[in-house]
Amino acid sequence: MRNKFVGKRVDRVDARDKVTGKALYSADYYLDDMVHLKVLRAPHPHARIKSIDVSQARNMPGVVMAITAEDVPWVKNFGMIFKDQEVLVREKTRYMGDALAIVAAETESIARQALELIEVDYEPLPVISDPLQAMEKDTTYIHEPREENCEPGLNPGNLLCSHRLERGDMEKGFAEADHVVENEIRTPHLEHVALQPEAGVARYDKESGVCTMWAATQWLHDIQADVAQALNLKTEQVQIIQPAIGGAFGKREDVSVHIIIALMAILTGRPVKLEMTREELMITQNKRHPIIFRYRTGVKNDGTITAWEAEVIGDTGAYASTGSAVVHQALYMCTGPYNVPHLKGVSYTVYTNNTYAGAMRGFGATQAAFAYETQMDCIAAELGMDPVELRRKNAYELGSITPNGQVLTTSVGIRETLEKAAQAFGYQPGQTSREVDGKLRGVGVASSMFGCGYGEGFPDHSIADLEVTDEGKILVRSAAADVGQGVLTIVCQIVAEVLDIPLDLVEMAPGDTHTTRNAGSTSATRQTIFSGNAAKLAAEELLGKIYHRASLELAKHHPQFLVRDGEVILQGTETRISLGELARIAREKGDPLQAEGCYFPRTDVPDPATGQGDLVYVAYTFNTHIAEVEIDKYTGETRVLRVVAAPDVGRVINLTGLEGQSEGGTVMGLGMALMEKQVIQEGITINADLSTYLVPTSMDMPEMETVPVESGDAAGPYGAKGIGEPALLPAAPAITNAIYNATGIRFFQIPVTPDRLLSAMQARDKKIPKEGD
Amino acid sequence: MTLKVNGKEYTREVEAATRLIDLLRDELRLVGTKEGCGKGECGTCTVIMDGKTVNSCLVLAPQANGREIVTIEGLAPEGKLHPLQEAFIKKGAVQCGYCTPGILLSAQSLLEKNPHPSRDEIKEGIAGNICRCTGYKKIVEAIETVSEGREEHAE
Repeated sequence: MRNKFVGKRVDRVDARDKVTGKALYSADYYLDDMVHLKVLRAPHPHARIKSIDVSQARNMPGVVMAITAEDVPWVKNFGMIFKDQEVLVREKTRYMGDALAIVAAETESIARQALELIEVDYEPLPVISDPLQAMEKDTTYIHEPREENCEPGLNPGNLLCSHRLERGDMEKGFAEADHVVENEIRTPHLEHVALQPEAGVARYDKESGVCTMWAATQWLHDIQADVAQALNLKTEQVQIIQPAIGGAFGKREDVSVHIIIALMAILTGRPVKLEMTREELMITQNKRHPIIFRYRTGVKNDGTITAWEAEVIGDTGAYASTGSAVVHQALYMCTGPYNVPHLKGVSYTVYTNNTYAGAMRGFGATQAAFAYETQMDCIAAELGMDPVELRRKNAYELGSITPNGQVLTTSVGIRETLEKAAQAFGYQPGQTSREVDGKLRGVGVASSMFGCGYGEGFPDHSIADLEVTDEGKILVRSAAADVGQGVLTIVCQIVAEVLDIPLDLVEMAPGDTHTTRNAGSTSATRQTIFSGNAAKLAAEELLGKIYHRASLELAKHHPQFLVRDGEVILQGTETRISLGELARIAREKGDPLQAEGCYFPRTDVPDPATGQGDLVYVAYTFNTHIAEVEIDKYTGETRVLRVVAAPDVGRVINLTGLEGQSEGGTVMGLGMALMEKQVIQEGITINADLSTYLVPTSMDMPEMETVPVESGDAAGPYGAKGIGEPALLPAAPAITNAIYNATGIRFFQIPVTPDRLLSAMQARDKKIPKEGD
Repeated sequence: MTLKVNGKEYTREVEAATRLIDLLRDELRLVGTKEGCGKGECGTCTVIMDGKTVNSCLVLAPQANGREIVTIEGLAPEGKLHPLQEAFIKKGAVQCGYCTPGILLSAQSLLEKNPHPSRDEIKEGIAGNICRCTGYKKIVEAIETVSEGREEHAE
C-alpha cells in the first residue's frame, strides 16, 4: 500500500504558531507579581572563596533576596552523569561560570545593579587550561582526588575516566601494512549558538508543594529528576512544562536555569524569572569538547586498512556533564565507517578550569569524523589514490564489524552514500586544484558513521499515549522535545498513517512532566527511531481497539470494517460511525479508546577492557558529503561553493524535514571548518559574543543538494534511522579536504580562518617545509 | 511617549534607558519579537520602524517616540497569513522558529523596496539575521517564491 503521509513533504505542525509569533518560548511567559533573578558568576576560573558579602545587595531598595551557598546548605550537587556541579559554589570556583550568589529583585535592572554590590574575597589558585597538563600527576587537583578512577601515573583529581577499545592483533596488523600514517588532529571549543538564550519562569504552590516551571529542556523527565534531587523534593513536586524551544544542539541537555528558578520560587514564595545573557550562557553553559586525536594507521599499497591505533584526549572542563560519554563516543567511532581488522585505542576525559563541555550535535562523533576523515585523506595522498576510491574500498557492508565489535546485519548504506554523492556531484576521480577567475578551486569528500540512540546497554525508551477524543481527534501525549528538528511532525505523520486519518485531526499535547510520559532525550539522534516507534506501536494498538469496539457495537467481524478519514465504515454499506462517537460509546462502557506504545530495545554494555559488545547501538546512520571550495590566493578566504550530501537514513519520513536537517548540518559544519572557535585562554573566554564568535550567515551559504539513501530496513518506524547529528558529521572534513585539494595544504586543526590559510600559503610558496598549524 | 505599533497607538511612560524590545515585550506583551543577543549581532529582534528594519535591542524606547513600528504580530491581519508566512511554512523555512519573526520582517522590508530581488539580493537582505537551524536555503527559496508571485504547494 502506498503511504499517505510517511515519506511525503508535510508542513510542520508547529509552523503556523512560529510564523505568526504566537509560539511561546521560555522567556515569553510572564506571571503576576514576578521577581527577576540574576546570578553572580565566578571572578576567577580557579580560586578559593574566602568570603562573599551580600549585605549591601540585600539592603538595596527593590532587592527581595540575595543568597549564597551559606544560606542553603541543604542544596545538593547536580549533573547528568556525575553529581559534581554545585548550584552555588561553597569553597572554590572551578571555572568562570560557577555561581556564587543569586539576587531576586523587583526588576531585572535592579537585580543586575545589585550584583555589583556583592563583594567576593578570594585567593587565586593555579589555572589549569591545558588537558595534557591537567593529566600530569603533579598538577593541582581541580576536584577531590578519586584514586579508584585513576590510571597509574596520571592525576587522580583531574582524570575523570578512561575507556579502552581493542580487537585483533596490532603487531600483525602493522606487519601487514606497506605504509603507516601517523597524525595528531585537534578540534576546538565550540558553542552551539542555539538562538534562544537560556531562560525560565517558575512558581511554587505552597499548598500542593509543587514547583511548576516553564523552561526549555531536551529531556523533561531527566531534568525534573535532577532538580528534585538537588532540592530534596519528591520528583512529582517538580513540574516542567515544555515551552517552544529555540534550538538546542545539545545545549539544553544540561541543567541551566532550572534548579535556580525552582530554588528561588520556593525561597521567595513569589513567581520568578531568569533570563541569561548571550555572554553569560556562552561562558557558563556547556561547550563542544576540544579533543586531541593521536592516530597511527597501517595500510597496504592497494589501500586496504590493516591496523588503526588511537589515543583520544578530551577536555571536559570544570565539570563532567556528559563528558565521559562524549569522549568515549569519540573513541568508539574513531575509525569511521571503515573495515579495520586490528585496532586499539584509549580515551581520557580530563577536567580543566575551562568552561565545562557536554553534549553538542554529534556528541564526540563530530570531532572523531573530522579526525578520521582527515586521516583518510592523508592516507589517500600518501598512496596517490583517489579519496573516494579509498573510502569505497574500505567502507562497511553487511557483515562488517564496528569498532565496538557489532556485526552489522541491517541498513548499511555507506557505499551507496559514496556512489550517490559522487554521481549527484559529478565527481571526477583524481581531480586536482584548478584556477577559475584567479581563484583556486578544490573538491573534498568525507564520510561518517553515527550510532543512533544511547546504546551501550544504557536504558533507553520512549512512551507515547494516544486517545480518541469525543471530537474525533487523535490526541497524542509524548514528552519528546521538538528543538526545531521536527519530531512532533514526524510523530503526527506516523499516527495519521497508521489510523488513515487527516493530519489536522492529529493533535499533540504539550510536553509536561505531569501529563506526558518519559520519551527520553532529544539527543543521540534517537527521537525518530524511539518516539516514532512508540507512536507507531500506540497507533497500532489504538487501531485494534477501534476495530474491536466497532465490531462489538455493530455486531460484525473485523474484516468487514474499514477505518478511514476519522470514520469506521462497514464496507459495502452506508453504515458508518465517526471515531468521536465511537470514543464516547467506548468511554461510557468503561473501555475508552486509549492506547500506549513503549519502545525499549535491548543493547549491550561493551566489555570495559576491550570496548567490545554484540549489539551496541540499535542502528547506524551513514553519510557522505562532497564539497567544492574556492580560495582567494590574496586574502586566504575560503568560500564553499557547493555541497552534495547523501545521508543514509533508512527511510525518509518527511523529505522537507530531512533536507532541512541536512542543509542546517552542512552550514553548521561550514562554520566549524572555517570560522568557529570559542577562544578560552587560562580559563577565560575572550570571544563571548556573536561579533567575535562567528557563525555562518546567509552570505556564507553554499549551493546544497541532498540525495537520500534508503535501505528501508533500519530499526526505526518504516525502516527509518535518525539524521539530526549525522547531518553535520562529514561537513567540516569535506571542506578542509577540499582546501587540501585546492592548495596542497593540510590542516590538522580547525577552523581554517583566512589568516591561517594565507600564512600557510605564503609559507608554502617560500618552500618552508611544514604548513598550516 | 507615544508610538504606533501594528497600526495601534500606544502612550506609555518609560524610563529613559528602556529599550524598544523591552517596551514591546514587557509593556505591550508583543512577545513575538525575540531577544537573541542584546547587542545587535544576531538580528533576532528585528522590527520595522518607519519602513526600515532595526534591531529593537539597539533602539531606546524614547527614540521610537512618534514612530510607527511593525512587529511579527502585525505582518498579517489577525487570523490570516501573509504570503511570506505561507511560503515559510510550505517551503520548510521554519525549524526552531526563534529567528523566524525577525527574518520575516527583514524579508518583508526587502520586498517592499525591491519586489523582485535576485538570489544574491535576498541573501544580502537577510544577512543580518542569524539562523542556526536551516542553513538558510529554504528561507531564501521561500522568499524567492513570494517575489516570483507564485505559490508552490506541497507534493
